[in-house]
Amino acid sequence: MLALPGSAFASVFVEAARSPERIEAARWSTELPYFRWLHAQLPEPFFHTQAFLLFLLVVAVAYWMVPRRMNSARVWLLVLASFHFYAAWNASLALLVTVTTLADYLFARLIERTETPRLRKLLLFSSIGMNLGVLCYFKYRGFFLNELHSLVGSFGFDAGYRTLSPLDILVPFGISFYTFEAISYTVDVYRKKIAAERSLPHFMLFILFFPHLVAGPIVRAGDFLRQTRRIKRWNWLRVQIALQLFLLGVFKKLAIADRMAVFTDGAPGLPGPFLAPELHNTGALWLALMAYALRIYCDFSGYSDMALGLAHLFGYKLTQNFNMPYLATNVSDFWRRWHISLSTWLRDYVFIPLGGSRAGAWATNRNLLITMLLGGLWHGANWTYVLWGAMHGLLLVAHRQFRAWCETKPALDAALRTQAGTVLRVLVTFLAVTLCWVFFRPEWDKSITMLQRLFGLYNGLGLPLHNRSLWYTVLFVMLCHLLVAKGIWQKFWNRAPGTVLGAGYACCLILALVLAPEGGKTFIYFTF
Amino acid sequence: MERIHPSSRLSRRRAVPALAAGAAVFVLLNAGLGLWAEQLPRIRDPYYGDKFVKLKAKAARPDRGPLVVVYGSSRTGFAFNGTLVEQTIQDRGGRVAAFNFGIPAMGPIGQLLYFRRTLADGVRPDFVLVEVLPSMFARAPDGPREQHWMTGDRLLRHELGTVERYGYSTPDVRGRWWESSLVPVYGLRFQLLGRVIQSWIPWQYRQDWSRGTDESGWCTPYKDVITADERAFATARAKDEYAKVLQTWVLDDTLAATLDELLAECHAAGIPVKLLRMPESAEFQAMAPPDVRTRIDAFVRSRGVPVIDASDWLDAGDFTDGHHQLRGGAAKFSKRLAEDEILPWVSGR
Repeated sequence: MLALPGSAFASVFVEAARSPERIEAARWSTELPYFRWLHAQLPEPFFHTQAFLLFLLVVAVAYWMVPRRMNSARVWLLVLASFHFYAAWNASLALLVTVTTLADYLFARLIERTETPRLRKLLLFSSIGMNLGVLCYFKYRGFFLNELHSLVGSFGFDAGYRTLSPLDILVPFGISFYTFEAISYTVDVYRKKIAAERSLPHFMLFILFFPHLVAGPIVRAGDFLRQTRRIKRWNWLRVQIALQLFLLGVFKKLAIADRMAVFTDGAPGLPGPFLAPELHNTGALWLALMAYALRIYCDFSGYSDMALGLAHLFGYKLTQNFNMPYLATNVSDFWRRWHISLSTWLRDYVFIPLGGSRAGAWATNRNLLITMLLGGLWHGANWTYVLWGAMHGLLLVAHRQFRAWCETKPALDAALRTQAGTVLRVLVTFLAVTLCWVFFRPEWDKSITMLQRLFGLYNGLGLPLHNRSLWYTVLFVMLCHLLVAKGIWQKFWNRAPGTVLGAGYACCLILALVLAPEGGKTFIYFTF
Repeated sequence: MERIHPSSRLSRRRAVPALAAGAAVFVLLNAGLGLWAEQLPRIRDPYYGDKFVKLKAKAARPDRGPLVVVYGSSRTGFAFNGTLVEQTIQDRGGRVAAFNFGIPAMGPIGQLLYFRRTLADGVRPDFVLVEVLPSMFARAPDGPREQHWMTGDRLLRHELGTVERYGYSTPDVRGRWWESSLVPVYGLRFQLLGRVIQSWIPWQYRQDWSRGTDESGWCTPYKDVITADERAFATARAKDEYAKVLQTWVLDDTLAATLDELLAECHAAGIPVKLLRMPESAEFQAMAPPDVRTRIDAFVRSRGVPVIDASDWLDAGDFTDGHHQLRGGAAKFSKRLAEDEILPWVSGR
């Protein structure tokens, strides 16, 4: 990696991101005609495209046409649909995911049948090794090989291979998500928390179910598999709730996240503060940072809402992934509200096995740091993500120390618990989390430039768009948070007539469409 | 999600009304807006609609002289100060009503359509000037360059056949038109937002340009003077945009036929017409090699109508970027055009 300087690597990455047609052409030239046709029908695995909505309509109609006593047929139908959904993006990788899923199914069955502890452990590590091996091969090999290349080179030796550019590396969509799902399953079976699933289609649906396949939430076998066995009955309320969640996600994505992307990334011919921080003034960078905080929240939680809505349409309930994270009063609280399925996974399968908080302050802080470093690396194969994880780890450690110190200062503790103190804590937490977002991308040099210019008085370009729409969006999001936090939205939902709710849905969709900027942006978390 | 109680009877009872009402409101709103947009050009194509309202007001003035309309690009938009033209001619004892129909990125197809719309909407110019923007006549592998700006959502249904005849991509233009008609809240979102909250749209997608013009359709240049650095930056951007097209310029015969059709329709309507080549700085002109300049000249002069060649009328300091004029440049150009060309033309009618 250092053989290619950070900026060069970043520029290659950007170039790769801007040359998808090269990657596409090379990839599809080797696929079977059927999959090429499939790709033409469903070119992108995004939920808010016309092609996907047509796919969804076909699958939903077919699903509910199958009599409910034929639950296995329904499950098979969803497995096939999910496979096609993934294969439309990349048929070879869809086969790979299917094969590793089959292997995990067999490993878990064998673990359950085996009595010998050593053999059970061997089987467990084989399953974890296979999953992590596939993950490392696709997601981390470029990072590790390039780092090794530069390390060897720094001692004056030739590594004997060329560095890999992002064009050489095809990361399967959602690999980080379904790998963690598979690992948690075999670990739970090994720990005898759950029984190994006997039905192959049910297990395949757990991993491949298209609403959560590419960007989570990370579902747990214990939660999901029992739902596969439950008989689902059609009712309109299910459709209404599914639609409500889906519309909420579409609104967050189109009206907020994609709009905020104009402030961060700019418009054609006009790179924004995140793409060219060296060109922008300090004020614009701070505003763009706030826009990025909104963007990433609405982008990912919008996707999660859509996923929850889609799953609900088929009678499945996925884990809630967000709970108004920017209302968190400290960073620990933030991680209980942000990407909940990942933070609970890291807690259960990394932090607690490391010893959790049971072995004293030092060990707890060490465990927190290790967990968050891994969490950072989970997001992306780059030092910037590792640093982002480390920053959050340090914030968690600092918060623990501060909390312990506050317990010895009752007056301060009481002051922080007042309404004003709570507002202050929310603001400080938001500021800390937002500053960490500077490193949440692969371009190291841009992150450093941005950080430097944030804490100086630099002249330069302003925001790519008038900041009025940014402030209105911030106020709107705050108002929505307030309505939900005070329970006003829930009261309204319980009492409002159906026609009023329906008009609200229409207005929500219309607003999302009217406010959508030109050219849809991909979901940020799809790259993880 | 967690707080919704699917089992409550009220929730179950109102699900169908909620879904039905949602679908009905969405469909009715879109249908209404789609129909409205087809009737009202200010919704579908504010570039045209907003200027046409001003043109109509000018044409309705009882004491006006002959109506001179210039159809052109943003060059015309920034350069042709109709009020100054009228004043200049009035100072010399003449009378004229001058209107600037310059629209960003407008080429021969847009000029033809806008001329037709003007007549169809009840305003008949007495004299027409047609700007020739050479880059818009360049042959391109994917069809006319104009299709990237004069997109399907800005067109009326009966105009689709015309643009397809002149090289627009049928799936693109029809797809965009259908999208803007069936789901206008999405297909016409920039037009709609531009009427209410312009600042929410990146400038590349704003369509409220014509609203900000004066009563004669002139878009007042933003600045009176600019620094050398600003001019260098703007000129470099103009080169990025035009150099490649002008260096390899080959006439697209289909687009030449579009211009001929416009000229023929002017003749058929009994409206005198002239072609206008707008001023360019020497640096801008130098982007086109000599042989290309010769070919462009030959093309313009062979259309069978008089040509006003204003290419060399202004100095580099009169432009922001070598082809868009500053206020001073616009004043010089408008005055000279009025004195040397328009006054003799309308007087000799």
